[in-house]
Amino acid sequence: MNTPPDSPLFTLLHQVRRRLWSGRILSQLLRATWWSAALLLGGGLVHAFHQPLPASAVAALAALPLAAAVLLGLLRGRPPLAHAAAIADRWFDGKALMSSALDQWQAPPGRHTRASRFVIEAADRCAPSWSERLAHAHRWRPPRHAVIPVALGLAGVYLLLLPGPAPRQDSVAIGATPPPADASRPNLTASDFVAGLRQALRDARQAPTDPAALGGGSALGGRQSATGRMVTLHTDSTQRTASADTRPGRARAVPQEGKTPVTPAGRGSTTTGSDGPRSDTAGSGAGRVAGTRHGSPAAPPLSVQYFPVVRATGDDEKPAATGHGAGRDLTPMPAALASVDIRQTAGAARWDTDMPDALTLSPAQRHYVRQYFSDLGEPR
Amino acid sequence: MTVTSFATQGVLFQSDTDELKNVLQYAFVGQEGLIGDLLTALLAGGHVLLEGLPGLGKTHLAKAIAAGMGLELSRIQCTPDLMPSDITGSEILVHDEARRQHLEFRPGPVFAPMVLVDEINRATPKTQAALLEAMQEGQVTYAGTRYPLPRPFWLLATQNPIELEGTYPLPEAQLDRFLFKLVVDFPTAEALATLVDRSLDDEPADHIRPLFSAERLDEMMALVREVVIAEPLKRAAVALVLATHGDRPGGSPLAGAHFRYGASPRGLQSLLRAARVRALMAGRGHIALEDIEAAALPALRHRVLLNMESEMDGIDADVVLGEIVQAWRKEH
Repeated sequence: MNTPPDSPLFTLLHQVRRRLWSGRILSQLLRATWWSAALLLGGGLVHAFHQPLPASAVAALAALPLAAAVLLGLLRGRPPLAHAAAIADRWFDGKALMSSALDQWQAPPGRHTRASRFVIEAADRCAPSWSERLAHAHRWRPPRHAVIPVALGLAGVYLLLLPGPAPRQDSVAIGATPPPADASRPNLTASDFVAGLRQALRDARQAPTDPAALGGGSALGGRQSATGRMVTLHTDSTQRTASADTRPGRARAVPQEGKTPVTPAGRGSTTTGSDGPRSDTAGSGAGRVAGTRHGSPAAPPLSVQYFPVVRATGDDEKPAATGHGAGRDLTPMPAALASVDIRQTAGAARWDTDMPDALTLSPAQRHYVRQYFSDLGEPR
Repeated sequence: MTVTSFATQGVLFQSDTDELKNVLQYAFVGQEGLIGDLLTALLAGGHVLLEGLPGLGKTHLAKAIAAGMGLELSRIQCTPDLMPSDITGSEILVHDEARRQHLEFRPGPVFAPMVLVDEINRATPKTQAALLEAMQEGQVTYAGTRYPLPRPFWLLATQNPIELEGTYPLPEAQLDRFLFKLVVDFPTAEALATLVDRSLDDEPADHIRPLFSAERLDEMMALVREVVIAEPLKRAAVALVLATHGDRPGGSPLAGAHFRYGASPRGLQSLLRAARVRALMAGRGHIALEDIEAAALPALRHRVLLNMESEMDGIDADVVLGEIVQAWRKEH
């Protein structure tokens, strides 16, 4: 046809087509917004009430539906010109003028009549004003129904930005701010400390039996293993002590020569339930640990249950073993353990002992250590 | 011709039809829609079946149109004893100048540019069938000889919808020959009052002067045929016709429930021919969906056949068809 493709008719049709295309992508984005909002909100809820989640990962996951919607819109391409013409006729009550003009323009030259030329010219006359109306009247406005998913998504973002769930009583992350010392809240955590204790005991067992090496300062010296991996410790009241201090009349909770007894956890737990009466300590148990978890070398989430230490005293107000903590005769030890000096395994570190550089306690851990020795009545 | 001439002719077409409408509306009060549809059918070159109660002015309207278009009107009053030759004509024995006798064909009343067949359903099927060839082919065959009818040729037929005794309903094949079937509604009170003022003691149709010549009518009808029908509009019209067939793909469920037969392909042709006239009347060189929609009911209502259940339930085909058209319009 004699009308070039850059005529007002085609300018309008391309304009409508672009508008349709963007509108289609927008509607797909709107649908995807619901998915993103659901992901953000779900992630936020999990983060706030169940388990901390990395906000960046959740945000990236939530962005996936939006990116997919845009990608899909781009891949589907722009709508055909005939569709744009029909839509333009519908928008401007064109009575099929654009559709007819486009149809006649696309017809073979032999089919062109004066009526078809008349129609195309009429369309070209109308197109500029329609384009102007389209530019002004059909400006994009944010759809109202997008408010809900956006609000939900923002709520999810807010939840994700919260510090995370409150620490459970049986677990705390290293470096967490210590709660105030309160005897009514016995289940507190100091995993590093306990892990250090356990490692110290393990090191003590593995060390050669050398009386010269015994001493208060040696117990905490190896609280971290050579690999730096924290170890699990379960030393509740059910543990079996391999110490000779568990014998009646020799309450091991009473510090001997200023040492605080510490019981190896792993060994104690292995005999639980099969050893008859448990060898509880006179002090109701001190530094008990439960529910610790194996973690990564960098920051293992460990947990400690803390029980206040009560010094057992006799009628003369002197430290003495009680009947409750009398324990029983020493259970025969395995041959591997028999060589370990009992003083070494029972030895506890004094606070004033120099700490090795490898062990850096967090504020929480320092708090529990302080509380531990405070309950024992030992000076720091 | 140039584009400008098409535009000019379109404007002239509009003015001429508007003028004729005004004249007819003066003579036939309160039936603006009917007049518009009638003119549409006539300018599309189709025949019209007018259905209405006696006394509504159907014959009067036909006379007024013929007068306004400058056409000779021929009237056939159908009765059960009307014979085909009474319509088409017959051969009579004549004497030539040499006083030799020979048979000569004497054309019947159908040989006129505009024929009014009054109460067509009173004629027997045999007589009705005599009109088939005239309506479709524009010719009459008698004794093996073809006699062409004048061009243009229009046939306006009237029938009474409530009188069934002594009538012969038109067969579907004949109904299909009518481009439009128009229903003459009862006029409103205001229209009746105006009608009394204008035609109580006079016949307004007798005073109508011809507005067009036969050549002008030919030009107008030729211009109608130039109107553009875009491909999407063609497909839309096809979809509408198919929607009346409930047993075919694209058929409307309503049609499946109520229609025994849907509209014929001739119905599609009628639809688009009428739509072209309406487009020109609106000053457009192309048809629009609105034109098809406006032409749908008069072009299709006599081409669909209600099934027995719907007929026994007293369902009106116009109502069903109207709903089908509305559903079609929502899709397009």
